[in-house]
Formats: sequence, structure tokens, C-alpha cells
Amino acid sequence: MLLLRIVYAANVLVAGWIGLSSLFSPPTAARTVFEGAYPPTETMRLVGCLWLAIAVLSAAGLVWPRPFAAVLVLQLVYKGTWLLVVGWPAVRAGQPVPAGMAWFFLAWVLVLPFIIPWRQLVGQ
Amino acid sequence: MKTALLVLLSGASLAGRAQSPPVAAPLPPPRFNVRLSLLLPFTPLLTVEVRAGDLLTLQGETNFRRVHGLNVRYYLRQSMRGGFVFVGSALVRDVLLRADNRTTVLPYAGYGYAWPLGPHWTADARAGLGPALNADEPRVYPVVKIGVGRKFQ
Repeated sequence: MLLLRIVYAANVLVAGWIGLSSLFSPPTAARTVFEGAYPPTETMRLVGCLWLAIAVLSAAGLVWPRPFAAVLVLQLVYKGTWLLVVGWPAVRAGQPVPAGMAWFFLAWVLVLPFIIPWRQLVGQ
Repeated sequence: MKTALLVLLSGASLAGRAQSPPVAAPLPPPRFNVRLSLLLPFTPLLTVEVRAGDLLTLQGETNFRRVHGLNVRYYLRQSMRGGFVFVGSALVRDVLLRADNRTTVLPYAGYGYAWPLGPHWTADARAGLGPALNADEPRVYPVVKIGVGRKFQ
């Protein structure tokens, strides 16, 4: 339960930070979150909404860790998909990739399977 | 008879006390801790915090490449746990701050909180503000970090 709460707290701060910057200031997000790998676009605001939603649900997860664990499954799926479909092919092709974000995604994808309370989620 | 019973009971009480397991001595305050920190949004840092006084600690952190920092923390109530205030300075090399990619000096100050995770582990979150003194655009930047690590007595 403590590990779950640590993950939720990290989500609140990280997803909250990048969500707010992507939603309200795509140029700032393009420089700081995406490290200049992608130009600032209106699409970043959509991604900002998603990240902000993850931060809000993670804040609820701090209070009710198990019922909100589905948000961690969502993170596992979308981060894993991005790494496989976007990040890794870009690295292999020598194209620009936001390295910090990619490493953070990788760390989360490796950690989350051991943190998510699968039995409770499937049993509910 | 009453006296005999009293002697017996007090003796039993003393015997019970003698056989009770010894109470574990409280751990001394940690001398230092080593943490894996994250400077938001995505810069990992290795942080070492050393106790320099009752409530005062010195802290160094680096990502071994382009971000290095040194700061002083003052814990408001207990050593290495609970609320603290900090001042410090970072040396940051980033083209986002300086187009010529030279080092920027970023002094900052702020507030944070450290949570004990059992007897040996700790987590913290801290937020501060500071101006990038010699950046291309001398603005005030937020400095937000989170970390998890191990304490050493």
C-alpha cells in the first residue's frame, strides 16, 4: 500500500506538472517536456488533458489506493505502447526522441507490473 | 497470610519484569541518506544528504552530466523528517537556458517535507523558486523535486 501511494504521489507531481504545461503552454512543454523533439502544437493540449486526468485520478488514489489502481494500468498500456511504437523505432532510425520522458516511461513500465494490485482489480 | 500473598505477588511481578523482553532502543538520528531524486519533469538525480547539526543538513546532488546542486536544509522539528526549509544553488548546463550551452547558475530557496518509510527508508518532496542568473532570459524558475532513498545511522 505504501509503494502504491508513492507511485500515486509521483504521478500527481510529474503528470500534474507536464499536464499543466502541455495544456496551458505548449511552447513551454515542447522545450521542457518534449526537449525540442516535437514542435509545439494544439495536439499537445489534448495530451495535457490526458496527463492532467491521470494526475487528478492519482490524487484520488492517494486516498483510496486500490479502487483507483486502474489508472496505473492505463499508464502501463499507453507508456508501453509509446515506447514500442514511437520511442524505440525513432531511436533506431536516429530520429529525435525526448530522452528524459522515454527513460521515465521505461522506468514506470518496468515498475508498474509489480505495484499494480492485479488480483483486486480483476476480482472487483 | 495476607503478608505472604503480598510478598508472593510482588515477587511474581518482579520476576515478570525480569523476564519481559528488553525494549528496543530507539534508533539514533540518521547520519546521512542516499536518495534517487527526480527534478521535474524528467531529470533523475543522485542525492546525498549529510547531517551537519541537530536539525541542519548539507545536501549534494548530481545527474553526473549537466545538473549539479548543493544546498542546506533546516528541519523544523526533527532531524531528517518532517517539514524543512532549504537554500541552495545549482549549476545547470542546458541549451534551453543558454543557447551556447554554457553553465547557468541557479540559486534557489523553498520548502519541503520528508516522510520516514519504516526505520531505514525515506521519501521527500520539495519545491523552490530561483532566478537563472546568467541565462539568455533571466527568469525565475520553479525547482520541484521528489525522491526516495535509504537512511544510514
